[in-house]
Amino acid sequence: MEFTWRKTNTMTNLQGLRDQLKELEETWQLPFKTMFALQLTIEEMVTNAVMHCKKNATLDLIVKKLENKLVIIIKDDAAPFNPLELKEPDIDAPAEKRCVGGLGIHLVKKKSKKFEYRRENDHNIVTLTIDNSPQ
Amino acid sequence: MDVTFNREGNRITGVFTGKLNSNTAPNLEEQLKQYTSPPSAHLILDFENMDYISSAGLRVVLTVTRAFKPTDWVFSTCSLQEHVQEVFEMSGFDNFIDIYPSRDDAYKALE
Repeated sequence: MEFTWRKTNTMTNLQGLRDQLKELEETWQLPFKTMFALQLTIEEMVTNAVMHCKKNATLDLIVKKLENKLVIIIKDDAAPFNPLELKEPDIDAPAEKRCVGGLGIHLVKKKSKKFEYRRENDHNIVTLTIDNSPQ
Repeated sequence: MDVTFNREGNRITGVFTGKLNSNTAPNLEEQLKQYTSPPSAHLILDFENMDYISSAGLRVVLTVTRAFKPTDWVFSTCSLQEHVQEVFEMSGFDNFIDIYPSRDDAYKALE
């Protein structure tokens, strides 16, 4: 089973996507745990694209439901950006020294079983795998 | 999302319901402003009915923490759902934010 979505990078489109993911939760009978990870990884990746990519970048999202896992592929046509090269936030730093930059991607990495990046035909392509094993 | 505040003496309890994402976080931040700039009472945020949080939500919680830091007032959170608690832990926020299992525990800590 496969879900596809293609829109420009705006917060309004992200909100529309949230509603569609809600429908996907029912159609695919996703457990709460999987749904939480799906929402979080997609929100962080798309928010990142809204904040840091050029205006009117096109985002392509594919979510595939495979046995015991979901594979999420996010593609954009913005400047090269490899999230794996992003500096990890210092999660042991006290509140006054905490910088919130990079926290979203950090959460995505933590929630993913696999996180891959490649640059192909002037596109950034991130492939994530999240767990969907029965509870 | 929805948040309601209730003041009893020098203690304000904010009860949050819904999702705290990049869409709702600015709204919560706005509503918190009257209690955080600057703080004039203890603040407990009850997250029992928060079923989702992203980094945009954590950012709001960090802002509140920083506002309370230089004061004698206490900021704490309570009743986090398992997945929300996990996000706090993955981010290391549990190192500097008081998280209590229940609202009563949060209140007791103020005594």
